[in-house]
Amino acid sequence: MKITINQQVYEFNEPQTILQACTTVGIQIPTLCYEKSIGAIASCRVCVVKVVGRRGLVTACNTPITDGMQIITNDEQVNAARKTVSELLLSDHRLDCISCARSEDCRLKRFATQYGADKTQYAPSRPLLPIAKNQKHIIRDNSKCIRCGRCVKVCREMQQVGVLGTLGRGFDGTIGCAFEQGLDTTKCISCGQCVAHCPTGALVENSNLPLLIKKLSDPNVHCIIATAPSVRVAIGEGFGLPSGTNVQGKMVAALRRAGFDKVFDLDFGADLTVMQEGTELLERLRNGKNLPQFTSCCPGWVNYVEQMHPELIPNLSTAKSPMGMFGAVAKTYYAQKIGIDPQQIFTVMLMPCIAKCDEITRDEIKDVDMVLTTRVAIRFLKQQGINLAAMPDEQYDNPLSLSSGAGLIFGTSGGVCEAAMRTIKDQLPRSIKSIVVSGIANAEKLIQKIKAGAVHYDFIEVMACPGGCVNGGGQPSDTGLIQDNRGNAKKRAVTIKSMDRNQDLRKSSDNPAIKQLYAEFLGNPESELAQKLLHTKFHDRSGNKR
Amino acid sequence: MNFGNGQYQAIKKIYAEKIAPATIIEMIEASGLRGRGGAGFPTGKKWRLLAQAPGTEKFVVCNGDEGDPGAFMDRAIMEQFPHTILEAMRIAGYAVGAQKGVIYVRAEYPEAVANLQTAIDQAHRDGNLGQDFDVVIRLGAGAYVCGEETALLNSVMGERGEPHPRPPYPTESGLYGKPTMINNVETLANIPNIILNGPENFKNTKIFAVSGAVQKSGLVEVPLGTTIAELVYQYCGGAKPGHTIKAVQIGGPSGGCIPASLFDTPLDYDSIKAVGAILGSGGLIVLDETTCMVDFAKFFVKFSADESCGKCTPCRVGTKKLEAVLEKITKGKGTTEDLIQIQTLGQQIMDTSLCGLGQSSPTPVLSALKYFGDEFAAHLRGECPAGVCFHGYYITDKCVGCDLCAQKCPVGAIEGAPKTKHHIDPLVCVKCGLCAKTCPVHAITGGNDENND
Repeated sequence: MKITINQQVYEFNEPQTILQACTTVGIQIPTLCYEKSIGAIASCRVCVVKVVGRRGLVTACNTPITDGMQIITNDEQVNAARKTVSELLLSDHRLDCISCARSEDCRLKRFATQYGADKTQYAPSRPLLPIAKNQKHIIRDNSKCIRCGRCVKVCREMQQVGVLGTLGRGFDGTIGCAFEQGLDTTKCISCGQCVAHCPTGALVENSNLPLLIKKLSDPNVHCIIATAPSVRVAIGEGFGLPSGTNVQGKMVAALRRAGFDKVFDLDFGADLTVMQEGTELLERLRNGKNLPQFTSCCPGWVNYVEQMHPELIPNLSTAKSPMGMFGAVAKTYYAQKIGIDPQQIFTVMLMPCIAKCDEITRDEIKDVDMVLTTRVAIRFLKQQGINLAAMPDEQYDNPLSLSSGAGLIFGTSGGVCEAAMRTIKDQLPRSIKSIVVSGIANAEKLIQKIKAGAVHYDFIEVMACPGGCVNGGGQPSDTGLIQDNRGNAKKRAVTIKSMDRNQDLRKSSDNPAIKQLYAEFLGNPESELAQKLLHTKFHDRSGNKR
Repeated sequence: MNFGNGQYQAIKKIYAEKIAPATIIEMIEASGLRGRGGAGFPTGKKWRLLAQAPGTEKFVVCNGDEGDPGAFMDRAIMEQFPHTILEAMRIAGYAVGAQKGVIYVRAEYPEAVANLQTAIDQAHRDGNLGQDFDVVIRLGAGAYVCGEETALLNSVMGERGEPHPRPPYPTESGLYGKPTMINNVETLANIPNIILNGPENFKNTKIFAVSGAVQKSGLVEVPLGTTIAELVYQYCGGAKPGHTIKAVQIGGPSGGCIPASLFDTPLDYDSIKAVGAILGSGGLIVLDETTCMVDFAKFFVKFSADESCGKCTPCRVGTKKLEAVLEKITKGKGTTEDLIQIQTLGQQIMDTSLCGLGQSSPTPVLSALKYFGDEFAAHLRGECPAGVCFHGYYITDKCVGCDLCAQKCPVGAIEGAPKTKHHIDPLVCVKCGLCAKTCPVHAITGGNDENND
């Protein structure tokens, strides 16, 4: 297939879109609604190009190339049209870009700047829309919404939760939940993929950085933070490093300089989860009850089960998530060990996840005081004037940090299952079948197959976000020319897996810190104390009540 | 109740003479029939595309979502000749290999819905439907955009009535992902005649819903190629007494206006397109000197803005801004830059919108600007030649008190002492604009007096 792009002739063998073809040959076309993993929506109309012989302009994102096609990607008409689209999008925008949370990576801002948008070109046609409340841990500002439809599409297709849609019609239409209800009245699972896919500041997670700074500044408060496995390979992106760069040491140094008294590794919590969840699985295999066992470390998945499949609650592992276990151990074992009143400890978790913000509102997880998503942590560090990229490499604090590669791989889909098997495979009473699934749409398919009796498994790992926590709803969005969150997540996963391979300690049960915790404090995984601190319960919320 | 034409003679002829599906498509092609819904796509070609589409499950959809203001052709056919549509759909199904038909009717046509359902029941009873081909009715909830074929299919499937980009075209992936073709009511109504009488005898007529400033308004069926003048003056009786026809608006919110100087233009797809309008579904509004072209264009732009589904930026926001500019002009606050903005923004909306609604929404205003630029220019000076816009006229501080305006005013609405600023009584003023034309110092402008508003 021979096509001409801006007078240059190119040959392509594979069928593809104009956008793909142009990207391959180094010609950049702006995009707003197009995201690689969710595919073309063709609503924003900024990727328009001229195709000789076609009426008007065509969108590059969804128009396939054909033999002999002559494409012009930039001329007076195309550039003027793009400029107009940017001005139309800005005309009723809040335009508080200076203080907007997405100021640095807003795609609309970048596009408008590139095309020299004049915000005075079109007067606003309505007062600014109110900022939506009752949105769980997400703030929706429809005055920054460009109606690209990404959030609707990920919620509906990727996650099959489908609580978002367009309300009303035309200019007055907005994105929201049915009957203009708040997200908190819906079956939203707080996965945060809508936020991770928003190209502007219309969707951001709730955060309370003033409280954090207050706690950090208070000499009577002992502030500790633990960082989730997948954050260390993503947070560097906020400081200009390529995705998948391991910045574990720099991140520890940065958080220390931001004022945390101790910086811990949540991989330790993950190792602990393996011990408890593995023991629980062995017990269920022995007595044959509540199989298959589903993992429960992903709060988005737990929300989904509680709201949509309460009949599966007995199948969830009762082990707390690594975060929940860490919080419990920090305010008991750790407090005792350093001789401090647990009331004085302020526990912060650095997570790739918005559902984790939801998890700490559960009655059973009261030991964690605050969750920072990776994105909020980036904003926080920048606010505090800390350039993570320029930090030296430093070590985590003890005693709650020493961890195995098994704990680390919790950050990627398949990691929990693999980690559990490393520890319990020699103790299995029989050969078992396990499966790993990520993305709620995929999980739902699996549930239906299991219910139909078409498949049978003993142990099932579910992560709400496709690819696992590396692609979590709290992770930085891809800032590349064509947004590809999933592509970034894959790079992060590769780094995690290679870090695991290069580690000597790869089995949770071999972790000396874990052994010490059981020896000094918990006894064994089945002890009363371990059961009390490290296990939780779930609630039927199909009627949407907690 | 029976609805004429319920004899299904064309279908009987097809079976009696064993006319092959391919032959039927050739007959439709030979007839030169083109889609009556607006775009004028050759019907035979569409049928051929669906016949060639792979797969055994295919759909024939009848688009009865007639939404153009002032257009009632399809309604008349659905209410009075429902069997003709059912027969045509069955012929289409036979020709292209489809087993299922869907008639999509707007819910605002209850009688059409009832009559179609009665006809379907009768056809079932008589064995004319229900064996190799069956038809169901689906109701639209009133969104204009659902007349666009991809939005219509979404609506039939219970989804939000939003268009999606083509390709894939419905003939490749339509209803429930199956090859589907969408034919307009009037298009289908021509099919049985073509089969019965042969394509060579097909008169290629088109129904126009004529309304507005004519003596006789209503539905008029004329052969394509009839001139606008013949339709307006010969069949519809021309202007109302004492008035002068200045233009027709044809094609609804997607169409444009054609001035009286071009009334020799034949009513066919290509000739009408050449003068900047579209034949559209057949709505034809006749305008005389009492209609302000700026105000009229604003009506259609507002219609498109209100009916935009909101999916794509240019249609959602662009038409809103276009409406705002026109609003400004009709308030007497327009500038030359505004006219330039109408042209550039209008062209960009046409170039970049996702579906036909957005792509054609600026046509009414662009054609009005093209042919009635003088009326737009008059508004910039504060005059509305038709006397429709502006709350009235007011006198600015430039007034030298010469009293000429007061002397010219036919209703005595202007008062003022000599050599002092005069004042217009808005309750007496008939907005004729004579004062503004008379004023030697241009102190009188149309629009709303900011101080009096």
